This record gives sequence, structure tokens and C-alpha cells, in this order.
Amino acid sequence: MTSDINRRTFLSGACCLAASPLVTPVSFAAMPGENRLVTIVLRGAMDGLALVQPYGEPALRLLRPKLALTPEDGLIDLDGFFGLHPLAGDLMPLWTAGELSFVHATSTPYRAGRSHFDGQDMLESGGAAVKDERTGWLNRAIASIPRAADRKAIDITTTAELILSGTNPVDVWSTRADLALAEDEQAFFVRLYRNDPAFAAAMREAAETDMLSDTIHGTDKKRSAGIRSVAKLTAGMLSADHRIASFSINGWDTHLSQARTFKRPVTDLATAITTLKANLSPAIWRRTAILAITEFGRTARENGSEGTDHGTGGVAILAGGAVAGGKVYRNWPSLSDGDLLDGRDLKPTVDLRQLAAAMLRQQFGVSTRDLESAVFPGLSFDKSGAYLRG
Amino acid sequence: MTTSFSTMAAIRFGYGRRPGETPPESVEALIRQVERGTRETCLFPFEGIAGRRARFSAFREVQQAYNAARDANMLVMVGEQSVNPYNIVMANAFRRDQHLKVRQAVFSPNGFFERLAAFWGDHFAINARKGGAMRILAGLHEAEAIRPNLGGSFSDLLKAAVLHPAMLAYLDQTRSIGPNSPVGLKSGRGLNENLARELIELHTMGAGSGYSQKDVRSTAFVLTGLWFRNPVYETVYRTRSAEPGSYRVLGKSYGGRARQIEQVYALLDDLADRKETRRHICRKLVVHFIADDPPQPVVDAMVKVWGRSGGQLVDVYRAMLEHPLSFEEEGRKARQPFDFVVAALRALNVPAEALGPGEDAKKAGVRPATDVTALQDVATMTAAGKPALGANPLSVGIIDRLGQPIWSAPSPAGWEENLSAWVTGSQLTERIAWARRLVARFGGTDDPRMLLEATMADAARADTIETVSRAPNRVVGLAMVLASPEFNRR
Repeated sequence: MTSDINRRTFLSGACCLAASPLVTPVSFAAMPGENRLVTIVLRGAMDGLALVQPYGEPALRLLRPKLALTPEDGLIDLDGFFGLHPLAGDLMPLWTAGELSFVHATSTPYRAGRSHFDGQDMLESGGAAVKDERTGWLNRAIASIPRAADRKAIDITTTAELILSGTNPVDVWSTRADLALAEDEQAFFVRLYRNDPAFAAAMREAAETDMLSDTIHGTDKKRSAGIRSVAKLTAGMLSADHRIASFSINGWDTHLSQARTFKRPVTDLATAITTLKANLSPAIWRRTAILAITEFGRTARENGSEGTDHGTGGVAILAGGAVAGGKVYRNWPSLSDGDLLDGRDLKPTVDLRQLAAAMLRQQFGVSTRDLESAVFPGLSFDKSGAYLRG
Repeated sequence: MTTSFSTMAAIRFGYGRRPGETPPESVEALIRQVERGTRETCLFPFEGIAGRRARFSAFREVQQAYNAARDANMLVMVGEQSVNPYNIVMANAFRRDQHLKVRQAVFSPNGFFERLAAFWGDHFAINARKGGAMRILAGLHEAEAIRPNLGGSFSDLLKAAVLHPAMLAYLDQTRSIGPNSPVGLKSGRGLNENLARELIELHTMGAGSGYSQKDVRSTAFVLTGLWFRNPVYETVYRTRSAEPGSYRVLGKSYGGRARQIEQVYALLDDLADRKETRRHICRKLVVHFIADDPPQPVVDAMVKVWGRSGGQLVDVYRAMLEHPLSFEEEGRKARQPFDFVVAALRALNVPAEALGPGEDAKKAGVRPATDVTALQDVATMTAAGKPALGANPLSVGIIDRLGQPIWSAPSPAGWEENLSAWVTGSQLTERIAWARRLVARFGGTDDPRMLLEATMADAARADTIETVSRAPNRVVGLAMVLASPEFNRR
């Protein structure tokens, strides 16, 4: 990272991504090589049984008399057993092109607590138990990527996220910086923070951020808020120096009237993925993998207010030109009474960390040893090549 | 070198020093702030608590009139857009309350009490963006449930905060129906675990403290029957939606053939009294006030006093304040956006008149959005058919922009506590920019060194004094005081 504060740091509106309540910061890391990885954290527990519905299983309609869909109701058939929720229909061109797949009945090792906060902690830290790890797995992965000696990294908006937090420097993208200082004045602020490491680091982030945003977005000061801007911005960063990006989509905690409350986050998810594709060149898209993950799934049964409560097994989404698409990966546990976890949840049969590890292996060549010791301590990495392309 | 008691007390346990105000000199002075605060009437809701309650029906009338007009296809149009008077009165009322919340914190002489109100408001977080009537209930929740009760016993505070209609609405409790209750049997509706889970996981015992999914589920059954009616917004127990029967929570049975609200009280009292709850709350207080990584001896001392006093919160606060470790190592916490903005407005003695809602009303050719006379003062809209009261960039506007909109926490867990979440490039650039605009307008002719002395006293670092002294101009010097690391820590 450079410690020079460029004048652009302080130029008005250099970065004007509006803070949206449903979208959280974007973090980036620069890497050698051409492969890209985007993680999208779906906060609030995305209902995998709603997004990718096992309509071929009769139990689903019994468990979810109001929420379960069939192809007659608009559910989009994927493979004769699973169907995609119609609100995610914008993703179907990717499915057809072999650029989208789903991993079903997956989860982190988090069990039984069903707390968003602990669940997200494990999802992002990659530990085998709550609070095992204090840094994000994606951050630890940076150190394990071969030839990544010259690393730099970045995070968007107001709060940093755990997944890409840790000892490896990560850039934080800032919102709407709005300041015009003379050059001499800037030097004083740099000086003001020099003896406070946390503030000095924040000041450097600000510098990097605005320089980059100027490069990518020119002087466009009025970009619309929300997920589309986040995805465009991410595409811009991935097209320049950065190879890893992470952001979140919130709003998945659909306890109530799920038919209605599911709409906004699922639309955001589809928009994020399609916007990324639209804003990456075909050559870069071919080298990009997107991994969307959530802290846990939701109850197999709908609750008393046409929603679902906190569950366990759920769905992860893989998209991009670099993924082996057109498939719903699963070791399906069935939804029959005796097969539900604790009599209520989809039983997870796939450790989500395997999937994340596979992506790190495929995209960045992270070694098995590093995956098992540093990135996901205690994981026994499945080398069979499931989820990997060709 | 250690910082003096009064400076630490003002910064760590209050909203910072205000020139002309005597900072608290003793633990008892801080405790007296709590006692005064709980008795005083706060500035919001803007019509007062009784006034707000008296106007609920008027809000309701606007809603019904709007619904009727919509159904009859008779909406007022401005250009292509239809005007929604209900949304306008709700948005205006909420904006007024938010601005008064900032004023309350800036001008109250009871800094520790105000900080505690923010802490408990966050502990029992609600989100006005949930929709419905949340926008006229949010300020009311703090005013009538939190503030008067935060100096009493924890169990009373818990009952007031959790059973308030704002919380019942926010965590879907009114949607949770006993499946075998008369209402459940007739409508086919059932249980919603949302409030039950957060009650145990966030409000009392804390995540992972030893309860099971079954305890959550049973709690949800016990809570069925909690209800309020629009537009009265008073919590009542509606037996016909309560699940009949007894449910075991953590080894104890609640309920019975005849369901009553007393069974809910008993459950809340028992949860309030649990060891896990004491530890969870005491730790959280220390994390909020002292350090992200809390000194365990302070937590232990508070837990012990909690047990002895039966959860009397003033005694618990006193145990924290009397512990020597509570006054060591200043600046381990980040001032969160609300805290930072209030401290800066205090440091510059910004007058109350400058902190009202934005003036879109005057500029934009206001007209009434409805004929309900009781709501005249908030039923105004701009020529474009939008709510007329905007966010003042000196108070509510900058707090929104810094990512901590008042009464709008992103989840029931409230706001992020860690320093690393709030000391980022974006926070810093936003804070510097705002500090500059603020001092340009309210910095007067003060010498930056005087401002540093008045606001940070002996907490000012030598290198900051030196850098501020050499500032290239007065505005930059004043802005550096507010943007300095020590002003953004506490």
C-alpha cells in the first residue's frame, strides 16, 4: 500500500456509492494471475428450499403447503427433480449456458444454535466451531496463494466484514467521500493520524479507494444506489488489479409472509450476478467464479405466518464462466420425517467449506496443505474434484 | 500519565465535554445523572408521550382515507406519481422524532444516562424501516419503555422493552398464533419463533449459553397471546390466540389450561434472573463502555453485585464505575457515528435552532397532504408530493450518511461494536468532510488549540496538540480537532 495521499483522495464525490440498507461493504484483494473469485454473503439465512425447490419430492408440499411451488405455479424446472424459484428467472440464461450450478443440502459445521450471528461468524471465519477463528477464511487464503507476494486489498462503505478481515491487508471501499482540501492541508491529516495505527491504516484505505474509483468511474457522481452499483463497481475492480471481491446481500430472514419477503433479496441476488456478467468482458467472465453462501438454511416446514424459521441445511450458488455449471450438486438426504435433522431441518450432507476450498484450489491453486491447515483448519479436503471444472 | 477522572467520565461514560458544562467529578455524580434522567421527560415523541398516543387515531384515519382513495382510484397525482399522505405523515413524524433524539443527547446534562439510553435502545434494537406503524412507535419505545426503566431492575426493563408494541411488531410476535388456540384453529395460522429466539439469544441469556432449540420453541408457545390493536397500541393478552397447555423452558413449566399474561411475566422474570443473563448483560455493558475486549474483573464485579442486588441496574452501573480498571487505558473504543456527531455538536456549542429537521418545507411550496387537523404539523409535503421534512445534514443527515440511522439498526442484534468496523477509510473521509463543514459554520473565531483544550482537556495527545498548533489555517485546525484519533475514540 502506498502511504502517499493523493489529492484525489479528497476530491468531492470521488466515490459515491450510496449506503444501501440491503447491501454491505465490498472488499477486494489484488493477486497475480487472471482468475477471479467473488464471494457473496447472503445474510439472514437464505431459504435454499425456496430458491431451489425439490419439487420431485412429495414431502415438500406437505411440509410447505403454502410456500411450495410446482412447475404449474411457475417453478422453473432444472433437472426434473429440482426447480428454480421464478423470482430468480433472470439467472436461467446462465444455467442454460452451463455457467450456473447449485449445491444443495449444504451447510457450515454450525449446528443446533441457529443464531444468525454465530452462524455468520462460522461462515466467514471458516472455523469448525463458533469463535474458533478470529479472521476471515478469504483473508487467510490470500497468504496461501502462490506468487501473491505483492498483495494489496480493499472494503466498500462503512463497516468492514469478517470474511475478508485479518492480518493480510484488504482495501475497504469508501462511500461518497466528499471533501476538497488543498495539498498542504492533506499533509496535515496524514500527520494527524501517523501515530495511531488504526487511523493511519484507514487514511491509507481512503487514499487507495478514491484513486481507484476515479480510474474506474471517472467523474460520474450520481450513480444509483444499491446492488447494481455494487456489482458494477466489483466488475470494475476485477477488470483492473483486483482478483478477489466480497460483498453481502441482506434481507433473507423471512420469518413472515415469505412469498413477499423473499422477493427483494432474491431479485438482488439475480441482479448482482447478471450485472457482474454484463460488466465483465467475455475473457474475464470465463475466468471468474462467484460463490454465494449463507449462514444456514431455514426450517423444512413453513411456520404459522407463511414464513420459515431458522434451520440448518441450505443451498450455495456457484456462477461464472469458470464454474462447472448446469448442475444441482447434492447428496440428497430426503425430506421424509425421519430424515429431517432434529425433526425440522434439511439435513446437511455437504460441508460448505469443501466448496469454498474447491474454489480456492481451482482459481488460485491453493495447496491442500494450506487449505487444511491455514484456511480451513481441521478440514479434510475432498480432492475428488467435485464442483471443479473439467 | 493517566487521564483525570472527570475527562474520562465525560468521554468514556458521556457524550464528551461541552464548554461551559462542569464534567462529572465522581461516581456519585454519574449515578445522579441516571436518577435525574429516568425522571425527566425527553424531547421525543415531538408531541409528548400522551400527545402521540392521543394522535394514533388521527394517523389511522389518514391511512384509511388513503386506502379508500386508492381503492376508488381517486389518488391525488403529482405528475406521474400518486401522493401517499399516510407515508408523508409517518415520514415527517419520524424525522421530527429523530431530530429531537439528537437534540436530547446534545443538550442533556445527563451524559451517562443518555449513553445508557443509547446502549439499552441498541440492546433492545428495533428498526423503524420495518414498515407499518414502526415509524411512530420507534421513538415512543425509547421514551416510554427504555428511558424510565433503565435505572430500575433489569426484569422491569426487560418486560417494558420486550412487551412494548414496537417490539411485538418488529419481531413478528403479533403474527405468532397458538396453532391449537381458537384463532389458530379457525385461521390455520401458527407459531412464529422470531421474538422467542431473540428474547433468549439477544435480550437475556445470549447466544450459545446453554439453551436448546426446544427451549426457544417452548418460549414461543408461552408468548402466544401477546397482542395489541391498531391504533391503540397498548399490549394486551388475547387468550383466544394463546396456545393452551404448559411448556417447559429451561426446566421450568409455564402456562396451563387457562392462559394469562402473568405466565409470560413469570417466564420473563425467570430469564432476567438467570446467571447466563447476568454475565451476558454485564459483559455487554463493559464491551460497550470500556473495551471491545472487556477486562474480566470488571465484568465479574458487576455480575456479583447483580446477584446481591437482585438485578438493580443502578447498582450494576455503580460496580462498573467504581472498578479502577474502568478508568484505565482511554480510547480503546471507537466513537460510533451517533456518538461522534453528538460529541462534535457539543464541542462547538452548536445551538438548538440549527438542529431542526431540514427545510425542504420552506423551499418547496408546501401544501397539506391531508385534511386531518390533528396532524397538521406533520401532514405537509413538497410540491413534488414528497414528505416535507428532510434530514438536517448537521444532525440526522450526517448520522444516516455515516451508516447508523437512528432507530434503524440493521438487525435485532443492534449495531456493530468493534473499533475496526467504524475506523475505516470511508468513515474517516466522511467525518473529516463533515467536521470541516461544521467548523466552517460554527467554529467562530476560536483558536484550534483552545477547542482542543476545551473538548479533550488532558486526553489530548502531545502529537495532536503539535499538529493542530501548526495547522495551515484555522478551519483545518478546528476540523483536525474533531477528526483527531482521540476525538474519534473514547
